[in-house]
Amino acid sequence: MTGPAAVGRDRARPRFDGDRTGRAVLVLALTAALAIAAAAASVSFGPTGVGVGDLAAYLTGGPEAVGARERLVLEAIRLPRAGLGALVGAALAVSGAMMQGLFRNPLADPGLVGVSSGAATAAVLVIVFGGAALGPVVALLGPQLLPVAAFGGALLNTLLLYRLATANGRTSTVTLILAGIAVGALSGAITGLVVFGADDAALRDFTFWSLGSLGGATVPKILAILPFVGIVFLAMPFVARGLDALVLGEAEAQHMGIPVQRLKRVVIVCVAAASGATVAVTGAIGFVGIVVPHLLRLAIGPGHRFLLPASALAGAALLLLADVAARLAVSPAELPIGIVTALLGAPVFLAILINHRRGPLGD
Amino acid sequence: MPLPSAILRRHWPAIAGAAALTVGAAVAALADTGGPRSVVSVGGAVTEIVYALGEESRLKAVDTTSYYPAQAAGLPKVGYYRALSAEGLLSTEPDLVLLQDGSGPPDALAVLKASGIPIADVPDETSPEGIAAKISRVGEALGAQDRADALAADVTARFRALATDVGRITERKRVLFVLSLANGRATVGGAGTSADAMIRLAGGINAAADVDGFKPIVDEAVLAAAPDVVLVMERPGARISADEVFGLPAFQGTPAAADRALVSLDALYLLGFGPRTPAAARDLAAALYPGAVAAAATP
Amino acid sequence: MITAHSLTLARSGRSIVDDVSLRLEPGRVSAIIGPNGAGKSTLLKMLTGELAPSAGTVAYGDQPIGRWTPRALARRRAVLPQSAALAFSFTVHEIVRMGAVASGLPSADGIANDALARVGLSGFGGRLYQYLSGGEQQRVQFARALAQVPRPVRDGTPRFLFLDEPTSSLDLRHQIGVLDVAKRFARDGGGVVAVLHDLNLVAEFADTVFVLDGGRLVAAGPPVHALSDGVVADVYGVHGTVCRLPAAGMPFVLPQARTS
Repeated sequence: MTGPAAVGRDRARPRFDGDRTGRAVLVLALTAALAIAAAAASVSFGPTGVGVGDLAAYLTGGPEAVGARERLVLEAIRLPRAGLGALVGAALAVSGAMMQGLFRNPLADPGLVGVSSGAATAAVLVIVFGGAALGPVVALLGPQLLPVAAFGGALLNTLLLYRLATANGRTSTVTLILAGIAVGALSGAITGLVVFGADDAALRDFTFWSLGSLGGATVPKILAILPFVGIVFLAMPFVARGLDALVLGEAEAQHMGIPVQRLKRVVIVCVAAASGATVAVTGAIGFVGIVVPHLLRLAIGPGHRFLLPASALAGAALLLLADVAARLAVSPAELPIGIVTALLGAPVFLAILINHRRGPLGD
Repeated sequence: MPLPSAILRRHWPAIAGAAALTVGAAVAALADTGGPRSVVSVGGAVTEIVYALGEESRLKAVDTTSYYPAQAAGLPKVGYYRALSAEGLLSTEPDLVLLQDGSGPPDALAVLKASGIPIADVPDETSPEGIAAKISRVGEALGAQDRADALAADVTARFRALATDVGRITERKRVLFVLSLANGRATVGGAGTSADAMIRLAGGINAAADVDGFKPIVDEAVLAAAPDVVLVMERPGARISADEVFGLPAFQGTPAAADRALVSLDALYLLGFGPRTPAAARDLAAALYPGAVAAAATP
Repeated sequence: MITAHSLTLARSGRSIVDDVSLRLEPGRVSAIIGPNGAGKSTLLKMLTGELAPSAGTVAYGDQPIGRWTPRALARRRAVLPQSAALAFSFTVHEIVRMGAVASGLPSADGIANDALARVGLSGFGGRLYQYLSGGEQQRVQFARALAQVPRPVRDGTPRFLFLDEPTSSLDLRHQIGVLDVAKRFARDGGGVVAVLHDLNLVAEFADTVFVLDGGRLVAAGPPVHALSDGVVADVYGVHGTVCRLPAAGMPFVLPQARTS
């Protein structure tokens, strides 16, 4: 890369000064357009014949301009679904990008390193014991209970993982993955234990939840996760510079005036909030958090000022498109969306691993 | 979207009310001209009942657990009954959805209900009375009450006859239902399960009655259960063989192993609790007590 | 001015730095020297605020270091760490710009470009950091530190540069180049504190030398005094190595000339 040939090429072209802001703004605009297009696609395609025409009529003429059935499909099914898909996709991608920044490792994804498992375990605990042991809490929190519990589980696992995998301000990939496996296995074991002891009714609720997809999208569900995901979006501009500095190392970030401990706490809470909330409503959806930030880093670099918002937009777009595929592939049945994202994501994950072994990406 | 069905959907309550008022032989005889015309049936036993009532021409789609009779397997599938897609179901434009108890997820069902499509919730009790109620509910929803009554009466009579036959048996056999043998570990049907109900209908004693629900049990618990017969089920393309079961150390010490007593029946036949259940229970009883109980006549 | 009073850092019962008191003056290059394991980097980390001492105090001006917010401290001093690999591919410009942003001054891009020019890396802004050689990476990090304190004196207060083995990956020309920039920073009123190994570079560039051995400060003063035969013999266990050029009086060290 630094050979004479590269230098020669550099001279032949107008010299790139290393400032990728212009490119990042362009990519941000593109991802925004893509997210809008994906949302439109999500509302326009489905197994019923309700399509772009109906959507246009609905948007221009109001709810009365379309038939009752079209209205039901748009209002009760597709719009909540698009809303939930956009929120969940954005949250997954942003929490992935943040976690990778925190661990200084492109493979750190809440779904891969046991954070989502922690959220799932907490969710299962609530589903199984929620009726009996937590009666008053259930009544108090209502639809928020599942996201709150899942947030707690995710937080616990993130903290545990950080303690296990980070030594002297550095995280090695091997320790991270191993610790992630251990933390995930522990959560899985607890989940198994809880499910084992569940009665039939709880088991049925658990089955409904574990098969979760965007299919059950409702406005109350969106409202239930909005505070959690909203906090993460609001935090983005405040953690961006700190995460950039953290790439150079914890001590280096501190030297550059970043309050590192506070930054880490904020990011850990954000990652847990986003993974917890999304797991609570849709079950674990893998790979969005790893694919989206990775591809964007190739395009605009790792600077978090643009990486985080672009991840949110591209994550929303990716999940919405994956969901359209999930509902059309085996219509009138539906593929679990996690399968679609894994099909898209696993090859990218492998590509990162291979690159990682070849390139100087740290240990 | 065909106009008649749209009208039908919009005016469904009125039509249903009118149908309910004009009870009688005339309606029953003309059943094919009235009632819902495109039905989605969710639940293997529910679909069987639709076929047993001769109403299969109304079926538009079924769930993935509906694979009997063979024609049902050829219908469009709306997915697993616990993971239905609201829009997928709507896209089949049904004017009736038969939902076996336990279908979901609840959010998808809520949207379906909001759509105004008539939904018939079918109870799922694992008892002779429960089957009769199931048949009656499906018949009512399809406007085939008379044939449903006849079918329910037939099912009840066959259960009664089986109970009489089984009542004569003095030495009851201990039966262990094995749901799966993953990694050599047996998951068995304990008290309160459909398998438990089936074993009792067939005059057996559930050897795993100490366990609640379907649970994996340890090897020694298999020995302690001391089953005379091991009962397993087969699905299309998947069955557990006697070699597999009795090759396991846990099973080698059981009385069942001495006779290699393994009964294997189709999953939906054995545990579906539909119109074929009297026959299934009789087949199981015949396998348990050869000579004392006659097997069901093949329909 | 930075003052350290009775700095001690103990880890599992062992003192890594033991009761060190010193003053770092602006307008000077201060070198911290000593054999491996003497506690040089640990002392530097306590002076920059990265490590909290077990006992003792560090004060910037008359304020104890704990009273400074990270942001305010970042405007008072910059630190060049020993080099490290990055997990994500930032460009050289983006890295140096981070330092410029931390300076709190406007026009971060201009400051970053100036800093790159000062370390002789003009035109390297568009390169990816991880594909540079070790020496280039070290100079980029040096430029980042320079960009963080672009003016040696701001609003009448001197700024400090802390350099942890700044020449370890550099060839002879760039060793001298980097220390030249540091020396000019000190001449212009800033303070420079460097952990160095090469005693000849210390002799040439340092105004004050602090000699650490076993965590204790065993000598301090201008090189002419601190780099004596006795000190070098005691600390490094190498005898009769310090020679002097009559003209400048500047000491130089020939470690191969050992007698024991």
